[in-house]
Amino acid sequence: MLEYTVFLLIISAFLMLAFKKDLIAIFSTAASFIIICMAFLFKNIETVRFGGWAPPLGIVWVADKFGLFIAILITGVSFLVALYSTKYIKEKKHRFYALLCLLTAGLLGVSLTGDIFNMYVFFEIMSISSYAIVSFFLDKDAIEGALKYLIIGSLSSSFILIGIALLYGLTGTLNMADLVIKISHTPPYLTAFGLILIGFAFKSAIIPFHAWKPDAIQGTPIPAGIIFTTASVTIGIYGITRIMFIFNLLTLTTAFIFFGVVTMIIGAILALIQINVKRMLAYSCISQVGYITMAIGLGTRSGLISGFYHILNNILIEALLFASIGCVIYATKETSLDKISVKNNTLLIATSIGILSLAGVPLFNGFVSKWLIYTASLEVNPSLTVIAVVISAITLAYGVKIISIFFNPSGKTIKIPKAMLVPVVVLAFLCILIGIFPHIGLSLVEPAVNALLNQNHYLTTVLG
Amino acid sequence: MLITLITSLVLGIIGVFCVVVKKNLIKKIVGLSILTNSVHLLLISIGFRPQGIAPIITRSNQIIFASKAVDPLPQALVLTSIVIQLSVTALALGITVMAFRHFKTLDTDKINKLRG
Amino acid sequence: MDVIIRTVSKAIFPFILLLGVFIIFHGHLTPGGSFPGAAITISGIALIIISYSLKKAERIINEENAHKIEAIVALILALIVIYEPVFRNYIKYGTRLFELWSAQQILFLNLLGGAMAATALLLIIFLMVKE
Repeated sequence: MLEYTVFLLIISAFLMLAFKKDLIAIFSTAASFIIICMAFLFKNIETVRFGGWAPPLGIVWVADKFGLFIAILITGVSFLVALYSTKYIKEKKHRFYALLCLLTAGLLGVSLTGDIFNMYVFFEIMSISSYAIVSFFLDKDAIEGALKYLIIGSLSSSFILIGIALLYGLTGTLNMADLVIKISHTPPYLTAFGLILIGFAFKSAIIPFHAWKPDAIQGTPIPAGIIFTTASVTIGIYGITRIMFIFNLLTLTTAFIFFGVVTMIIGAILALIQINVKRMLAYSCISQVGYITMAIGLGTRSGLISGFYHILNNILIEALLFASIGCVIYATKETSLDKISVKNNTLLIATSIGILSLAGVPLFNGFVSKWLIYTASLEVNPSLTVIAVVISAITLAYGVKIISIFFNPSGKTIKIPKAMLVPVVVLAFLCILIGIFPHIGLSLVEPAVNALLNQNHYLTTVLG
Repeated sequence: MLITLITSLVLGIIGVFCVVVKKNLIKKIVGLSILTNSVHLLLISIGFRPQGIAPIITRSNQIIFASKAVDPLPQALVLTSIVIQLSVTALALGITVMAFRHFKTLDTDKINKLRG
Repeated sequence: MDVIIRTVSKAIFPFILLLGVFIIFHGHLTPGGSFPGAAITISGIALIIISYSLKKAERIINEENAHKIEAIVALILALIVIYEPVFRNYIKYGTRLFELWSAQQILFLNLLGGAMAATALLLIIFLMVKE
């Protein structure tokens, strides 16, 4: 069943271009979300063999709980974005939807495939549609952001391709499970893995590789910005985590903690000094990625659980913030924090929920995952905990700056279409729900961590 | 074998140099192409075999095929990668045209307006 | 363009199309296949655009139709990939090697892939000429 989701999304991209009906895109994203949810609930691990060839020879897709966990988040976000952009995008809407479907298909493909070159192909599908979507409005900001993103992005994809070429030359196979058996930890292999990891690090915007992100976000339409700050980042982290754990590169964890902490600190400080609200949200997302990277880099089981929980929460919170601020930008056509002043109670409540969750205030979902990160890092190194707590405080500081746009007495009341309010309300509801009942999130996260740590099960299922 | 590896390394360094150092957008795109092509050369040279034949079965070579033919998989990978590179280059050139219309220049130092 | 170029390109155009389609059809027997064949086919239409005008090329195929063909071909391609065992098991193929009808579903995949690549390249050319 799983391969149908990607087929459905790719075909609906072409159908969108030909027949120009919004319903096609909304239907296909919703259908893939439902299929992925069903697979997560009822299947432990599923393999798809294309053309009926046995794994080391043919292309094989492996959907374990970790991949499906990421896939649920991606398709869920893209369904909400498809709803949201019915009203936000006015001109050339069919092109936007076609690109959105392709982007989702690429993201899904990366998270479900078990073949490393297939992963590269889907990664490129995702990247190319991202470049196109950044340049969607064709104004000055959009073109400049797209150019920077395109050049840096293609450079990083070339690194991934070089890594894959080296791996193929050394082992003669491209199947990930087969590679696990054939590799050793000598310098040529480590070079190959290093190149691949750098490629994914570009996508997830970890700090030395983050330069494209704020510029790209500033030019994009808000609905695409939601995807970039949530799903694209998540897929970068997915790639890094998968490569690191399946090939036993756990010696790299120290580097991950280092880069995670650097990303956390610099992202938060840079977010504090921004005046453009889109850039501020982009930097806040970078800072949150630092938390995730640090938590995953701890390498322990509790670290992984907290990191994955924060992936889930980061998606919900960033999507909520982007969607609600996007409503304001939709109504005022203004992105500078000094100039926006509006009054709208629904958006005020939604944004406050987002900011409080982002800062990790109790009873909101951010608190749950941040608490898990604090406890997990306390076991390894207490100074990490201190840094994480301090950064949370800085997060609250720039969050207050965002909320202040609703409290200007001269602000005028704005009306927002219902199709844009529905995703905002749903996301805000989910944030509070997970904050009050944390085990809902844990029931998603724990199977994913178990699947990631149980490497033998993966290998035996794929190779039979 | 060795000479192709060295060539691909040199080409790759030239490509990265072009992308990072050159200020002209068209030159940057050319650099990307050179970099990707160097990777293609690397892939093809991985499948190389001395005195190998093309991996196509014909009426005359069925007996010696398995012992002589070069590895066809890297060639398939390169074909896929070429198609990807085609779309990236087409998109890059399209965006460059739009950039020239907005900024009246291709110098990346002058296009760099977004900061902070 | 002057009259010599127009006349020659008009005369050569069907042969370019024929060569492209031939390469697509023989993709499983000789080097080539869907993508090179499609590139050759579309280079014929690019020749028409250069030597005549965009309008003349749009009389052969326009952007709307190209999008529709691409969508329909994508649909069929996905169906073939999904119901691939049907093609493998229930359609009779020739058993002798090196004949057109010998490589099972690869022929269909080549044809559809060729149509797909051709429309995609055509749309790239149209967009680049128009914008």
